[in-house]
Amino acid sequence: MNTRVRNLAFGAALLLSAVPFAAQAEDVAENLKGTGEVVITSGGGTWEAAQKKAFFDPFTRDTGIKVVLVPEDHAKLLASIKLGQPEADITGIPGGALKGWINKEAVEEIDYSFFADNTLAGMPEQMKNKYGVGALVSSAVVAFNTSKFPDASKQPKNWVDFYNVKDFPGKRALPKCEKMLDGALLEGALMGDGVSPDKLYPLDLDRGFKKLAEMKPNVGRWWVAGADAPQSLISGEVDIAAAYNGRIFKAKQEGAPVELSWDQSLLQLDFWVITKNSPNKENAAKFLAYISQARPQADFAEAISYGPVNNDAYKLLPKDMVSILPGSPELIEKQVFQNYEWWNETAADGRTNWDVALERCVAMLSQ
Amino acid sequence: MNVAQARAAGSVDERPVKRLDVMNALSGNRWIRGTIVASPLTILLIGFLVIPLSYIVWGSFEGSKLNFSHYARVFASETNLNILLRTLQTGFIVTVVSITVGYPVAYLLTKLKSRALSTISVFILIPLFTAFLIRTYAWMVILGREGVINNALISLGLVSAPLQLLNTTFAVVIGMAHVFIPMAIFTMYSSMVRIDHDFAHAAQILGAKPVQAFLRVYFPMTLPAVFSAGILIFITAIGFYITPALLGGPSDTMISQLIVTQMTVLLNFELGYASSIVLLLVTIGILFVASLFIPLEMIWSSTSTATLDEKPRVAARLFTRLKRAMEPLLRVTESTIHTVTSPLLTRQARWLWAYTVLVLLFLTAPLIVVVILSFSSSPFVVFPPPGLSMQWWEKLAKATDWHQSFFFSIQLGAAAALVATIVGTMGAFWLVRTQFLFKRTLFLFSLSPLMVPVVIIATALYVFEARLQILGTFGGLVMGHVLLSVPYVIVVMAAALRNFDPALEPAASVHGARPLQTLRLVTLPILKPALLTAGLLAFLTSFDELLVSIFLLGRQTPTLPIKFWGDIKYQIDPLLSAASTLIVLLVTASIITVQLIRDRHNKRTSTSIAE
Repeated sequence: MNTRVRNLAFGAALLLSAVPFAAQAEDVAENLKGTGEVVITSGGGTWEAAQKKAFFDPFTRDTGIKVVLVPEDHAKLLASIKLGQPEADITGIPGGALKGWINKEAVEEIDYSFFADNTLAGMPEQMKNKYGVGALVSSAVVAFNTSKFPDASKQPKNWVDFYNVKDFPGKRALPKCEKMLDGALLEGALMGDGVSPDKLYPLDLDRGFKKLAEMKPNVGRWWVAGADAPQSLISGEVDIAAAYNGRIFKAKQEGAPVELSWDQSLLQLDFWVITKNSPNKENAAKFLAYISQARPQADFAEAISYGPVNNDAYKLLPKDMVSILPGSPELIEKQVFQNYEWWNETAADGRTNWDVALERCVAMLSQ
Repeated sequence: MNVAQARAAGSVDERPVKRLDVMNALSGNRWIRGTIVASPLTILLIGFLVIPLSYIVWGSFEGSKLNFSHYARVFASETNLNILLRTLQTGFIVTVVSITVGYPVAYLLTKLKSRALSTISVFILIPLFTAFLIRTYAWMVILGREGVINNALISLGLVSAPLQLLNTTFAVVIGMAHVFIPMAIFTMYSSMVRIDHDFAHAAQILGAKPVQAFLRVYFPMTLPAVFSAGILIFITAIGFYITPALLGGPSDTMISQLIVTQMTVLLNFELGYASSIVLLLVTIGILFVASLFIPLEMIWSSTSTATLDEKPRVAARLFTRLKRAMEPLLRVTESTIHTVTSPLLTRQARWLWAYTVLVLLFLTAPLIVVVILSFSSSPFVVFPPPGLSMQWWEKLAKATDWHQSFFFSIQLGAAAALVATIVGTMGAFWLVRTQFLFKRTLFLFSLSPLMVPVVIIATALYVFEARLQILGTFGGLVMGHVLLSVPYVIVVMAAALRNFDPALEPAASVHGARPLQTLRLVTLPILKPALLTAGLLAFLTSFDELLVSIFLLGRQTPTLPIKFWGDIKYQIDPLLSAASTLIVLLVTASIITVQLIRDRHNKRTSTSIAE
């Protein structure tokens, strides 16, 4: 009896806290209504399916604005922007690339006037960039095959363990050079060498590459596509991998013997940007204002297990879900933010740190 | 000039007439004919290659700014040069392996009757229709640490610890050779089939050992076929990057991969352009140097008389002298080979059959893995699957988006193959049958869609088609695919035309056939095997093409490779295997149907001839 009452009370509280959001969603939709279309690049697969369910379909239903998808390729999109006829109005880019797009004058400023006040209040500052709206929060994590490390007390839990071949034997998977930014190649190596997370930047390239060179004989897989990391763990190609949290989570959900650790995981941010001279600028801004609300953010996070950009979304998510989303209040303590400013710093010869590191990485690995 | 050309070329049938006005009329006619034959390829090359590529060249030094710093950067770093060298090296190894493995199979095919021929061709064609991304994943399953080969070796007790097969240059060569062996077999076969085995037979009757008859009589006649296949494979191989990226280790970076990174990750278009121009020049340079030593022009020169008339080139003279000096050594080698192989060669056919079956097994191995995976009960790509289920097939049956993509890809492939075969065949006639300056350069240039990294072609076409306002239309997409498949058609048709007896057409016209009748009743039927090969290669190029489609698609239905790519980027599951298996089944069925129809047609024609 007692428990029932408590459950009821809890439920009521939950309902109450949810009601304002539901009401809000309808209000906002009124202000965002429009006609015509908005063209968005799409990556296909489960990714597109999740976006369709959480963003595209509800947006069209509530606002009357049609969503058109075109295959995603950023080289193509940039070429079309250069021509002055952008092929899509909106695209998603990794946080590390935002500066490059701004420098190339490929993006429009975001018109935040379409965003409701409580949406803006729920979004942390870094998600509301002048040129980009936070799209999702992801993490590069240390993941492993649980059948190779069955004992919970002897599982690799951070980059130090990842780089400790003696106590954690087995082959490793690391990203190839072109994925060094999102795969946390250098950050992982430096933390593995004992650099403390708060002293990570500016990155010590010499030290990082030295550590990687030592590790090279133990690497069984250098991956290029995000899906490779879980696949190589499942197929037994490697035992420990640097991977994206979403991929590992999805594999685990479907019953694969994989697990990840949040300790020292690198927090990353993707941005939505509106392309320069987009013909549907207003619809694009409406779309971004719509999907940044708590409800769509929560739906998307639930579908694909990447973190929402609106903190209010956590209140709409089941408790067990919150504890596995990167950037969530429970995890953020253990995580490290990737410093995009450092990566995009430009030297006198016009080359960014990213250019320099990429070239050194290729040189080291192709020996 | 024109009259002289006509006189030289048409001397067989026109000599008896010897009247100036008739000659004039004919030469005028020839001139018109030449223009008609030359124009489609010229329009394609200038319109869809020269103009878009000049945009790239212009962009590589930032146009009027004349900023050559991007070129300086390409050469400044030792890494870039190392990667370029490694790319050429891998391309060379893959070419040699594919040709060597494919040659005996092509040889066997020339000796077969139609039924056996169809059976083997189906087996060679099947792997070509398995999407390359799926094939690559199948190789990962086979070569992996806990893969099929390592598990077999360990259970046999041959090795104690798994061998590192994946992520090595070995894996790259295996994966790429798997792509190129069928191509090698078909391109070589289409011109080898026209070589008469009686020559080698006659040599043996005159006292040559089987090895000598092969090496000195048959083999030299097949060289044009071998070289044309080799060139095709080499320039295609050095543009590859997805297979090496997935199968190779970190040191197996290919130059195209670097260019793609420069353009899509670093967003540095100019550096990507500069690197591509360097790659294109290096490739053309290599082919040009090679043409000084090996008869590269054999691919398109219609007869060997041209080389007899000319003074032999320095390299060729050197080569002849070397050959003479080597003569005793050659004889010794031949005799040794003869003693070693004679027990094998007596039952040559059986030995060849065994070898061919092995090659076919290699070609179908990934497909077997793919088929088994499609019945997996696991949501992951694990091999062997833990249990069997139909879940992926049920999913596929409901996936209407996959069905649409499939039909769209078939439509697109058929349209592209049709246009490419017509344009390429006319172009090959032009390049082979007429004499003009810069022929070799033009031939190499017509192959450049294969030499320039696809991402560059895709970008250039994108900009170009946007200006023409045909971007995102079906026609625009078809033209992109035509550009990529025309080189295959040209190489195959040029090799076939070289083996074409030039006396047949005049003979037909002497007997009263009008030019178009000669074409329809004599020329095209003789070229039929080559035409089919060319059309098929063109279709396959389009059917498997990813990057250009992504760029030119616009809002049309995604093609099948785009569908595969989108799914594989985010998740690898057995649904892709089911889709792949289904495609292969459909394709096999259609090939067999075509073969049956052809068989019946052949039977009918042969009886009518007998009557």
